[in-house]
Amino acid sequence: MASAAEPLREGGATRRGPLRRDPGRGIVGGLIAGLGNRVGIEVALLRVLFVVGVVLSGGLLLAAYAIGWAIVPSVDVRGRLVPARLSGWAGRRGLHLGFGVGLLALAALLVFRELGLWWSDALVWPLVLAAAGAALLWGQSRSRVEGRAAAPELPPRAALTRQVEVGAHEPQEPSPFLELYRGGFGIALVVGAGLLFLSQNDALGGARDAAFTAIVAIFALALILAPFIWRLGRNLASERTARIRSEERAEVAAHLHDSVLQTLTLMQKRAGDPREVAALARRQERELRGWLAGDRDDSGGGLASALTAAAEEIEDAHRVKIEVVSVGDCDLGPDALAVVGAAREALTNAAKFAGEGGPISLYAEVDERRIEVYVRDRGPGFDPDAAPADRRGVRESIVGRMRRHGGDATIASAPGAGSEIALTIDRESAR
Amino acid sequence: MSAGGADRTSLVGGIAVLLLGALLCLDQLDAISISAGLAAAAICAAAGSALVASGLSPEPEREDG
Repeated sequence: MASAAEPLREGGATRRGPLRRDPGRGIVGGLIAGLGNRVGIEVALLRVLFVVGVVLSGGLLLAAYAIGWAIVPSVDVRGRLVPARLSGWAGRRGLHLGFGVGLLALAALLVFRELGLWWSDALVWPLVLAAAGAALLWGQSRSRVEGRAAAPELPPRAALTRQVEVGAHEPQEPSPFLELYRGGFGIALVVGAGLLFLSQNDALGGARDAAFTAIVAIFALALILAPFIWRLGRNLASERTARIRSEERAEVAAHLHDSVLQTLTLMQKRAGDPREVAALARRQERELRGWLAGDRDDSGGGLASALTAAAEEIEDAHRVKIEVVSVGDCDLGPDALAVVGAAREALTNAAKFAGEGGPISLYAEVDERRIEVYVRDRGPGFDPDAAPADRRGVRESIVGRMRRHGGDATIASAPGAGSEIALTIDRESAR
Repeated sequence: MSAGGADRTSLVGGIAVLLLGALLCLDQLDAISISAGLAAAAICAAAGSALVASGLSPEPEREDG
């Protein structure tokens, strides 16, 4: 959020847009200067009007200024957007700032009340309550929108790198329970303000007792449930974070297995040819650097060309023949990339263990609903259930990878009868 | 205490409490007269200042390892 760059000035002139504070031209917080930019009125005139308004409103306008300072974003000297002080209520600092601004506003109101610059308790306090509730609801909706806008899709390893960098200090996304609680608190403040206003003006009549009882009951219930909901929300957020990290680690492990470990195996096999070993090492280094930098490892086209490229690469590396037949094609989304990764591993396994048995075949079929890829070889076959537990190729890079993306991988093989690995996944557009 | 000097939150909170104490002292000595409303306002202002300072203070740096 803090890095969101939204140029607001073009050619030196500020374009008319949403209200933004302008601390560079402001005296206190730049809210009135920003308002002047927004409505096109001289800032000095607005300041005079503000002072008069503060006196006439008995300090209410001052409280409104404090709230505005906290919830209105600003622009820096280069015209870039700086998020609101109170954008995101989830963090400890956001809560401190919110309560601090509220207390300062309350102090200002109490001073005005003592000075006699005051309308009436029956009007001001309900207004203050309603404003606090509205600010809470507005701040919550803003933080949700800004959070969505500031969460670009990262490639898995970039996302993992970021998670590792920020570690446990990254503010966790508030859970729906917490949002519901905060939203409910804001609504309760607004409703309470309305009821208080009606009560102070004797407009509730006989319903006053019932309303008072309901308010007290709701307040007590909220106090009782608060710690449980808070804990539940934190647990849900922690669980979600742990699950995402676990999936990302599995993706990283699968990629390292498919690339680095396979290359090391090849290098051991060809240890007698230093030039080829050096070429393999260079190619792997390039691939790993590109992957760490977040480059997508496809060939620039769709699924069919990515599968063909993978087959050609394995043909070169293992000196085997792979026949590729593709029917249909689709863009390389995350699920199609998972299919390519799993197919690449299946082809590598076939090249390593069944390359002598004749050509390996890869058949891919894509329709509007699903992607199906079959890798067949005529090698000696194997018993999938008898694979050692420390071998990650079939278990993680093929089956685990497909399942993580909602697909499936089935292996049909028996000693002496060749192997067939079927990879199936529903297309994202069909879900 | 931060590495580069006084912690901003503690500084603001301390000054606010000092001012509040001075105000109450003057009231006890009958040098000034503070009503309940003004005392409440002063307490709110002191607490609010400290909270705003805390909310505006930068995140503490992590100590890895």
